[in-house]
Amino acid sequence: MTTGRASARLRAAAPHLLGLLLPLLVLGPALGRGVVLSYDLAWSPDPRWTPVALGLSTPAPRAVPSDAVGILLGHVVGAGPAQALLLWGVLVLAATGAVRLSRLLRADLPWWAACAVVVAAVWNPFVLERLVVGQWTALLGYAVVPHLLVLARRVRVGEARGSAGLMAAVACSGVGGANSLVLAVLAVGPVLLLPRPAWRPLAGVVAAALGVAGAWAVPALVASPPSSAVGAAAFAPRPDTPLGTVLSLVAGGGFWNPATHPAERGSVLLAGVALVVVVLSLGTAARALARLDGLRLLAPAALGLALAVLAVLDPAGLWTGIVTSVPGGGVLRDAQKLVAPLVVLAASGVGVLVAGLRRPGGAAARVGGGALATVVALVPVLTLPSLAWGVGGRLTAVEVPADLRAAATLLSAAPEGGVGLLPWSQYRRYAWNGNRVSLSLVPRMVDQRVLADDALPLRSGRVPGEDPAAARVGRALAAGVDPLVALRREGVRYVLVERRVAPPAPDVVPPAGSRVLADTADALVLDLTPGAAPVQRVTPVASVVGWALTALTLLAALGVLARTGIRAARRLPEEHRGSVTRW
Amino acid sequence: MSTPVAGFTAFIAGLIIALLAVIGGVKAVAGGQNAAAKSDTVVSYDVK
Repeated sequence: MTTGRASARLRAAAPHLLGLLLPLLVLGPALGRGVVLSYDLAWSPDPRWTPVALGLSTPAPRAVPSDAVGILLGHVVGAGPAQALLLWGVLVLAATGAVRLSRLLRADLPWWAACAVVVAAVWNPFVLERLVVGQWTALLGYAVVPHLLVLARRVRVGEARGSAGLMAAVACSGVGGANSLVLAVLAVGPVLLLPRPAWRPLAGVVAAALGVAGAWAVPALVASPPSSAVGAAAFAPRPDTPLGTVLSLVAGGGFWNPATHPAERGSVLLAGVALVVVVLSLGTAARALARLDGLRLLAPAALGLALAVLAVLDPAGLWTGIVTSVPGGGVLRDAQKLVAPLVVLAASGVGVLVAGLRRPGGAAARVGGGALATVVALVPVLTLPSLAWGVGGRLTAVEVPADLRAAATLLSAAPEGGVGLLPWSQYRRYAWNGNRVSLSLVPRMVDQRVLADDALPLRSGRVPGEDPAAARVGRALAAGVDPLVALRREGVRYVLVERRVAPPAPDVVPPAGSRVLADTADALVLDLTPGAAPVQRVTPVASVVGWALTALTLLAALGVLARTGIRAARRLPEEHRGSVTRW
Repeated sequence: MSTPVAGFTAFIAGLIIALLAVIGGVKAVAGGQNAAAKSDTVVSYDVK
């Protein structure tokens, strides 16, 4: 092997290496022993097929099929490693995708410019805010966007043989549920529609998206739970910089929940510098796309930003109407995620931008373009340092107490009867989780129907939940009814009281005739009607049909991807003999 | 050390140095997390 070829291989490998290593630096303590619990990220340390995982716990399933993916992986490698693998893998996928897209913008992108793309794709406010709130499924959507843009363009310009690969990729993107599927459709739809619709691939993509959505969409459409206008307003994007909501969105932030906003975004200087680089990168990407043929690849970014801004302005209640009245409109409620294609495009544009700055003979090169390029490449990190090491420790893996796990195992093995969960609040601060805010773990640990508060407590008030039984319990508790009485009225047989949490557990005195199944530091478990006949668990037809659709779609997609992989592997020895592999 | 290796190492080193430098500054201005704690009667979704 010559030195030149070895050197070329090293250059080609550098972005790969950085794409693998940088997510490790971002996640840090989140990859440790145990599981990470942060806001919506509630991950059972014992993989179990609970009603939550199967979408049977609420009228509109939430964590479907994403929790099922985590459980499947958890059965293979263990729950903690499965979570770590998914979080890390999603960031690696985002890095590879952004580099892939940037090579479309500029085929001869130097290795160091590709490294800058990796940094921008992994290190930005979008990633930080979604990581903190625990929405790995939105990050999955973000990560698949660049891959889908490249695939969709190939279909449009006739480089791909048919659209089966694109359909399969869209279907696989749907494993993250509504969050990731919405972003996949946003990435692909406009590319296939503009300037004239490519009906055949479009129909294929729609079929793939509808198919993979079955597990959550069919039960949700059948149940049609009411969507609250309060929720639509609460989930509208919010500024995370002093630059206002729209510029916060352009810079990749603006998530509605201020608890996720990093401190440095409050600095006009840091936010301004980050914004300038994003705008320059977007301009560079747009210019490259215009040369390429592909201005249509700008459409997903533009449409996503326009929708997010529409959610902010809500002219004449238009956005609220879409979210609350149009069937399926609820998936758009958290509109900030729609800027994902914009963030991806900006990350890919950074590569072209820094490559231009260092171009030999270029105007920038004569005035220290190399140094400037390095600074620009590092701007994402310099302006958002708190993303490092598990967002400064906000994401840290912890061991779930053994007694709480034992209580969940005990209830899962007990005769079916339903479990009432106290304290009556959806969110917790577990003492053993550093008092970080997270969902209660119990519904994800117990293989029984868990009756829990599903309203969303915000500082501005509560966003109503969808479960009518939970609403009745909430009203009873507000009226001063004893918690055990209120839960018993709804037919639950067991009650699990979590301890060492905020809000504090109520004082529960086991009523006469009940039996204490566990009484430990972290859990009190009562059987209110010992000896009662087990309740028959009913699986709604809509869920069965939905899951069948999802499973068949995913099987077909995996079949297509396997066939494509085998073909590519067969071609590889001939095409790449003596050449250097590149992203 | 070949040029790409040196370049990549310098890039990573730059990243780490930049991080350490700025983390110090931000920590100085950022408030402590989980300030509200066990005494909460309601745990809101939009608080740290």
